[in-house]
Amino acid sequence: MITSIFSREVLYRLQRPLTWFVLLLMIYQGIVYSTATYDRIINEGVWLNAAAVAHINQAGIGFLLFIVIAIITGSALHRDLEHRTAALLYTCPVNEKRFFLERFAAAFAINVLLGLGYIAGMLLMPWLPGSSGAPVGPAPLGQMAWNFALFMLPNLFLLTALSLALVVIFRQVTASYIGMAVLMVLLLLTEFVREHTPYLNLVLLLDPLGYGISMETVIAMGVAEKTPPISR
Amino acid sequence: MMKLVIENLSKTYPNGTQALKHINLEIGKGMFGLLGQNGAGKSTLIRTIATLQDPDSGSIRFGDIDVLKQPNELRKVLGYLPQEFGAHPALTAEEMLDQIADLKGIANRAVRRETVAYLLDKVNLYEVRKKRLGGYSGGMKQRLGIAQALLGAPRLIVVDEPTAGLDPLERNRFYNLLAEIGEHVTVLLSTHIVDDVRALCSEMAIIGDGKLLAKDTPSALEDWLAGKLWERAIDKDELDHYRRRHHVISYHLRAGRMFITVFAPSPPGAGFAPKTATLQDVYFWITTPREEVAA
Repeated sequence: MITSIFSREVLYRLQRPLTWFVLLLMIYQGIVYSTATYDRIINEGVWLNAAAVAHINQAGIGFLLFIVIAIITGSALHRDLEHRTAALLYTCPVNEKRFFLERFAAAFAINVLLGLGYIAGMLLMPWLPGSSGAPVGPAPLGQMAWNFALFMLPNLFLLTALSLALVVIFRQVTASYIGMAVLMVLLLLTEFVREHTPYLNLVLLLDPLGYGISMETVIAMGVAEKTPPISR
Repeated sequence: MMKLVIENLSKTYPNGTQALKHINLEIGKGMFGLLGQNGAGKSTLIRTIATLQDPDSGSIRFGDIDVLKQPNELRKVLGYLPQEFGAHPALTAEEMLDQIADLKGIANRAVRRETVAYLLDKVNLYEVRKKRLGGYSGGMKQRLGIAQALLGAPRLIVVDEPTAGLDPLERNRFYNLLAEIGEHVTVLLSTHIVDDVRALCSEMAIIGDGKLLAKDTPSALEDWLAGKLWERAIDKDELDHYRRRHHVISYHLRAGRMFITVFAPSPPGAGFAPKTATLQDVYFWITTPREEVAA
């Protein structure tokens, strides 16, 4: 019983073509973001798939994932209201907390899966046409796993929780969209002012994902710390 | 015997609407009809019994279950068909019922499959069990709602305006099904269709303006007005005249002529013929504001 709500929700998502389309988009985003991040530090002699590139990308999670979290998480609960099935489901003998927790867990699991698509795109990027001239090293799998645990999982968890809470409080899926949009704007603003502000600590605190602090940290590193010296 | 006992139930919404005012009801096995106009408080009462909302005061018990304190215990024995419900358009009837059966505690997959197939056959949806619900008509969705309410062998079935959107054939089929079930469990049927209650229910209550106005068997309620109803044909423009002079409880057109039904302990005058009281007359008599008809 504990897993049936969870497994049905996950199965429902996996059966939707939209989920797989979004996964492809996430892979594409991983490719695009990796290229863009590499372009920012290309003159420093790092690998195309340097650990630093992965670190910055994974701290940011990407704007697409914000939207995806709002859609996936928001609809996990709002679907019952939208399709007027809530009265049928909520009169079943299932503890409310368990019901919501399992729906949350399912949305989080799908968000993590889509987040993995982003990582897959980052791993694919060096092998795609157009990046053949750039130096490529072994994939920094250990660093990427660490970044995933350090940045992506907590960020995905918090954003999923926030998105779900907004739907529960306001009973509107748009509340989830607006909440994610506000965080996106906050991320953009903090990133926009970060390099010029005299109040750096405040700006870094306002950054909802920790992208700014990871950027500051990585930029301050030497080439050898960002990636092993290019050997070819 | 499991009885549904409602005591002193009251509910006022934040906008000030007093939906329930000290409702007391005792409902035993069989079909119980809850009649009332739109806005009378039926749906609030039904939703409260179905554990979807809490009252401000009062208590509800079903057998040993304190419904307000142990909502999950009631849900284990509850079958609920809400007035308005939907279905996810991407799911099939089979998938939706399977999901609800699972939530209702039918954990064994084979038993679940068998139960779902049986109920889909019962409501005549077996042939379209693989069709997506987005393509279902209103009547088909209603039948699906009935099927889901019967999942898990409920001992209390609560149905809120169940025949809305059903054609006469489907309505008849639904009533036969409900009557069959009502032989073994408690069925609470909320409706504003008097004929439905007359045809199906062994006991009934009428509520209006959040209050319990009457509770008895349909026959006993009809007896309230035995020998006190009179009918006559009038011209349409005479209606106000009769309303001023008599307690007109209803009027209707029959073959182009207007007939009025008047309440009076003795013959109200020439031209009036005695009328056998129907449940509809009782309903009108109880729910029509007296100051208006007696003016």
